[in-house]
Amino acid sequence: MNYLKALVLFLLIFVGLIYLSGQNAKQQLMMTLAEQLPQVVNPSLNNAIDESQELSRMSHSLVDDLHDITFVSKLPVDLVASLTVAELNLSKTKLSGSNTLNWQFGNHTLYASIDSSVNFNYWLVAFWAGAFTALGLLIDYLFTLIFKFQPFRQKVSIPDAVNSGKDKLSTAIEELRWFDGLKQQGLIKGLTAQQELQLASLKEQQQCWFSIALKQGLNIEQALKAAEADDALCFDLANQQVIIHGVPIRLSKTPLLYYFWYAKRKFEAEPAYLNPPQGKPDHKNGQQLAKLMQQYGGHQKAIRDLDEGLKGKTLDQNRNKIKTELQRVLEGLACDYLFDSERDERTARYRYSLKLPASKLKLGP
Amino acid sequence: MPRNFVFTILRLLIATLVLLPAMVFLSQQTIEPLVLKEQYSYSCKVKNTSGKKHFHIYMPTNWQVEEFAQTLCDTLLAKQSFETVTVYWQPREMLSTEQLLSDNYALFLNRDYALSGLLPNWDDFYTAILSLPSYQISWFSHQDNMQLSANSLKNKRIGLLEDKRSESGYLAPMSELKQFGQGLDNAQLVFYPNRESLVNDFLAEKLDIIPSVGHHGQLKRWPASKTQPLQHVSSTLSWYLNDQYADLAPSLVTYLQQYQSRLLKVHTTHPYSLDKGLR
Repeated sequence: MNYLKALVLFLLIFVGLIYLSGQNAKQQLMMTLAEQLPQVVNPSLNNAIDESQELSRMSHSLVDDLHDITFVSKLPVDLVASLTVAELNLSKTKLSGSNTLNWQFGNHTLYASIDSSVNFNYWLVAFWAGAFTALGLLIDYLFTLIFKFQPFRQKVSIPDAVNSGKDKLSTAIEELRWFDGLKQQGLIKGLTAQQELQLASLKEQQQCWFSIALKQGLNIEQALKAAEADDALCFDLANQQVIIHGVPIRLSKTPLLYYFWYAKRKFEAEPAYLNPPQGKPDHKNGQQLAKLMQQYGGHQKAIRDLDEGLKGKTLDQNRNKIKTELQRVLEGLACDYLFDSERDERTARYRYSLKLPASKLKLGP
Repeated sequence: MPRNFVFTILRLLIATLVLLPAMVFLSQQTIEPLVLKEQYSYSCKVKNTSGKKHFHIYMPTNWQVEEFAQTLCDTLLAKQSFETVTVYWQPREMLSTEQLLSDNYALFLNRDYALSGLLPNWDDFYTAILSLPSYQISWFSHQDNMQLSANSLKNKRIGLLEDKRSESGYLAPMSELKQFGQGLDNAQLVFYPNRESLVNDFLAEKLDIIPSVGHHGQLKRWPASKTQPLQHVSSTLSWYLNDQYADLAPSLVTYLQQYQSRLLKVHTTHPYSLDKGLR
C-alpha cells in the first residue's frame, strides 16, 4: 500500500513537473514570438506582390530558425532541454486555438499559430520528482500524525504492550478506523481514553448497534452501553417506546400496543396467533386487546374498532407498521425483533408470533 | 476500504498541492535570447564553386525572387568566385547609407535620385547597366469623368502607400494632391502598407480614389472614363552593377532583360508601363 502510494505521488509530481515546465517554456516562446514576429514579417510584406504566398514562404523559412531553442533557469535545473517549433502557420485569415498570436499590419490583422514540441531532461525530471515524492510522503506523514493519530497513539500503548510490536499497532489503527465515518458525520466528538479503548474492542455487530444508538440520539456513553447490551426487547409503554438492545425506539400508540399484545402472548407461552378469518372477527381476543388499550391510554378509535372484534386486516396493518419503523431504525438488525409466520394448512391462513424467545422479553422497564 | 482509498488519494493530492509552489518555481526557465532572422531576403548556394564571396542583390519587389536567385546560382554565377546569392526586398525606407556600404550590394534596382540621396558619389562604385521604360501613373476612381479638383476631392477617401519612397504610391500622387492645396483634410488620406491591401480596399469600395499603374487584374479592365492620368511621368528605374563585377555585365543584362520583359508582360497593361512593387 505504501509503495503504491509513493508510486502514485511520484507519477503525480512527474506529470506535474512535465506539464508546468512545458507550459512555461511554450509561454516564454509565445512571448518572444509576439514581440519578434511582427518585426520580421511586416517589412517583408511591404514589397510583396502576393501577401498570402509570402506568408506561406515565411512560415517555412521561420520554422528553420526555430529549432532547439534553449532555456536558462535560476537553479542549475534545466527540466526543459530544448524546444522546437514543429509548425508555424502565418495567415491573413483568423486562426483559432490556444497557441495563436495576432498583430496589426497596416489596415488588417495577421495571425500566427505555433505548434511546438518540448524536449525534456527526463532523468532530471525523474530525479526532482523523486525528491519531491520523498518530501510529499514526509508531509503526508506529518499531516496524518498531527491531524489524525495524535490522540490515539498515546492510548494504544496498553494493548501494544500486550500484543507486542509495531505491526500490531498498525493493525489496531486499521481496526479502529471503523468509527472514522461517525467522526466525520459529527456523531462522535471528544472521546476519552477509556472510550477509545472500549470502541477499539467492539465486535462488528456491536459497532452497528453503537452507530444506531448514536443516530437515535444517545450520547457516547449510552451508545457504548447499548452496543454491549444483550439482545432484548423491553416495552416502556409509559414513554410510548420499546427499548431494543438498549436502543429506545418510539412507536405510534396503536402499533405499539399490538406489538405489546403479541409479546405478552409469547411471554405467557401462548401459541402463535392465527389470523381470524375474513368477516369473522375474534371477539374474545378483541376484548382482551381493547382492555389493554384502555389500560395504557390507547386511541379511542382503535378501541371502538376492537368492539367489533379483532380483525385479520387490522393485525396485518399494525404488524406492517411495526416492521417499517423497526427497519427504518435498525435496518438489517430489525428482523430478529419482528414476527415469525407459519401457514395453517387447514385454513390457509397465517399464524404469527414474535421471533424473539420469551426469555429475552421484558414487558415493563 | 473504498473510503480509505479515497482518503489516501485526497491526502496525496493535498501533499502535491503543498509542493506545487516549489514545483512551479522549479519549472521557471527563461528563454535564451532569440533573434529571428529578417525575412525580406532569399539565399541560395552557387553551384560548382569554391569561392567565398557573397553576391547581394536589392530590388523593391519580391516578384519571382526565388527563381531569380536560383538562375544566378545555377547558371549565371556558377563556377564564379561566389559562395552565395542573396536577394533582398526590404522597404526602401529601411535602406541606409551604412547598409549600402556594409552590405556591399553587387546589383541594385532603384532610381538614380534615390541612389544619390543615399550615396552622392554612387557613380564611383556603381554603373547603370539596364534601365526600365518609364510608365504612366493614373488615378482610379469609382466615378465617371472624374476631374481632379479641390471640389471633386471633397469628402472623398483617398488611398495611398505608406512607403514615402514610392513614386507611384506616394511621391507623385501626394505632390499632385498638394497642388489642390486647401480643402483637403488629412483625415481623407488612408495609408496602406502595400499595394495589395490598397487595391483590395479600393475594389471593396472602402476607398474612392487611388493612384496606381494598373497592374491589378481588375484595374486592367477599369473603364478609361473612371481613370485620370497623373501629370507626372515616372522617373527611370535602373539596374546598377557594382564596378567590381563589371565583367559580369553582359550575361547579367541578357538575363535581366528576360526577367523584365516577363515582369512587364505579366503585370502591366501598357507596353511602356512597369508595375507592381516597382513604385
